[in-house]
Amino acid sequence: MEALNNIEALNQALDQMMEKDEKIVIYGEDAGFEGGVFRATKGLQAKYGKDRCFDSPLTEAGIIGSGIGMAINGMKPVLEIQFQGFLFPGLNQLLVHGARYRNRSRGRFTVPMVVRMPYGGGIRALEHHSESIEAMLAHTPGLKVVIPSNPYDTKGLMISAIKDPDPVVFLEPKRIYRAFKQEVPMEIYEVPIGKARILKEGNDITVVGWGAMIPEIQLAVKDLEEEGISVEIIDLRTISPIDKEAIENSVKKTGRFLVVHEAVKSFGVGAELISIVNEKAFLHLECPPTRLTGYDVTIPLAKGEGHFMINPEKIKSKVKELINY
Amino acid sequence: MFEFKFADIGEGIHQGKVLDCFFKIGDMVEEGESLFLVETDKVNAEIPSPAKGIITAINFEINDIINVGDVVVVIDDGSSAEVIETITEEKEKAEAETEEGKGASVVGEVTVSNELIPGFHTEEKEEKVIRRKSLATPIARRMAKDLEVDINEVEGSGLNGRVMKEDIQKFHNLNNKAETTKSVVLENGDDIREEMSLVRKAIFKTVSISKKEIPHTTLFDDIDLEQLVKLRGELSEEIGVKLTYMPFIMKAVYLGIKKYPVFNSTIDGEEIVYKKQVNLGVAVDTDYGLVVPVLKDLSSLSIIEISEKLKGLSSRARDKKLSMEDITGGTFTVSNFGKFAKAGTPIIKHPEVAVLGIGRVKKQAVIIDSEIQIRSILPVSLSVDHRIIDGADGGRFIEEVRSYLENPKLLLLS
Repeated sequence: MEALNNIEALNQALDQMMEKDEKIVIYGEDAGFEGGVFRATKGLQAKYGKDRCFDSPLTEAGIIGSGIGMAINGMKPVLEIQFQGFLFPGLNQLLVHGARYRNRSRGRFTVPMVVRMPYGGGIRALEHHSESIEAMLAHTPGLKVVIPSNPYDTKGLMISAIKDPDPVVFLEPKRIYRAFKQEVPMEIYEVPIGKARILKEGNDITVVGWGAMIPEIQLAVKDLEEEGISVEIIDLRTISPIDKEAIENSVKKTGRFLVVHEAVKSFGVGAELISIVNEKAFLHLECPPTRLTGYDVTIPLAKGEGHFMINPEKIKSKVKELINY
Repeated sequence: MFEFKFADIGEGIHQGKVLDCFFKIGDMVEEGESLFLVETDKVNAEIPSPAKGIITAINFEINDIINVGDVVVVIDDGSSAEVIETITEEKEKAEAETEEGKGASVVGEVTVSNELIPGFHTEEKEEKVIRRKSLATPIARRMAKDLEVDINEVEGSGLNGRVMKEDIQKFHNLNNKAETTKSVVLENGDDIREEMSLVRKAIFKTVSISKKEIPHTTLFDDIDLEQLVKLRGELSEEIGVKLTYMPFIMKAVYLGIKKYPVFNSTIDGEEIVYKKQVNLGVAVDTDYGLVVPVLKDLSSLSIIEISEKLKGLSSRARDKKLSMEDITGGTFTVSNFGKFAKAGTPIIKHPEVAVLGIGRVKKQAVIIDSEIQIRSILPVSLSVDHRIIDGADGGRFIEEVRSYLENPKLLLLS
């Protein structure tokens, strides 16, 4: 066990898997020599050589397209998209080809590929560096979408993603890359994709979040618990496929449901989760299943970002509103 | 350019209606000159120009509603210099912020901290007892909440033990029955609990609504009935029937309403509905509580007819024989508490907008033409819905009623 932050846990996962499986290659813009703009692939080129960890040209379509070709032909590419905002030129490759190869080839080919990218706001970045588009990606059948919130899960989920026979989009909440550390086992271990984590048990309300929302929720819950409100926190961890069972069981127990996400409100993952709650736990509800989200605007630049972001105060007041509904 | 926003001119107003505008586009205006006249819910105010310059835009027509915060007039005050000043100010501010946000580049500012968060270890969890929560639809939960029933205590009769609305109602009825038969024992013996009668419950409800919804104000005045006392005596003798003051008062009220129809109106949203027919409710005290039978359509009734109809209504009220027709459709109420008190503050019968309280007629010494005279005086109290009727309107209405009661022959002519 050693205490690592998220980026170190990620780097350790990539390093240990590369060592174990020589089919793994890692590339992306600045992913080689520089070790990525956030240093996720730091030291890997030096350790495994330019053939297994290298810089790609500025072409997301090329990065993902070539990755699909490699994956179909037996390699295990782990691709870095420098920012989620740059993913769009590669979306045709990812959604139309990567996600569909298993279906298109009637199961003959699969695409064991991981596409990693930093996402989300809160670091006062430039425009189109701060969005959260997990809903857009999760809306595509054939793609798995994973978002860790802590070092332990970052390492375990990355290992599961690399081992997965299908394409996995690995979204990294960049705001919490280095925000805290956690004890992470040295060995290789897996955190299952498609399983939520009950972070804390409670009786009065279920609060679901993922990624950088989790620390915010935890801060809010600390205060709420002092006021005698018992909150169950669920870290969704996987956006596609959703762990419906965990949501259902929790809401059946608490009777109240709040989902918190940084992404814009309309057509978000929150709406999907609320639908699941209505379908599975309708008769247990004490109040409307509710979402606390970003606004339906392009995430503001540094100056206005604070107004957009979810904070513990917003979470607390929403939880109280539902408890007193 | 000066964008003049319509500001709250005090009193916490939110909007106003433009009644007049003193300028047109292209006019030169001095600072402080009146730009336009606006009507708000409290006052009419002339809005002064905040700047000197040429009017380049007027964003309203006469009679438009404008909201606080709207840009209503744009004045070219040659403030480009000022604009430059604000621009540089903002630029400096932005530069300061850029300085502060150093590193908000491609990579941005990532929080760096070595704070250790709890790790995960897989321990066997103990089985916990989960509180039993009932299965129920939101509508049933709502009902339970309204009836103050803890839904988790209710035995469900529906599918898989689902608590149905009937179950909640039954549970509520049972518990409330138990409650009404329970007597609370105090140290000084037993308090007695008694469920309200249906009539009392109805009174309870209507009075609550009236007081909750209607901002009342009550005006008091005295009316000199000396002439009416005489006339009443003469008429009673003539027709061989003992007349009360009530028919005269009701006729006078009817004539007052004719002159001031707002007293015979009701409120619908933001509209005042003036009722065509005048149907006067009369509060009657019975041994089972207060009821208000209604005398329909006074337009064609003489004093004698009013008197007869009133007697019918009163006896039916006391015998508990009032029909639905008898107690609905009132547009104004007269409440006579002369038997019980000198005066009172009558409560308006929702959704009406006024009620006239009639006090006790008493001989009093009054000063008329610098002489003390003994006259029969009737104290009246008029409660009005202050949202649509002002005090002065109430005063005028009482004055109109007084003019007939102090000169009652006019009543016979009307």
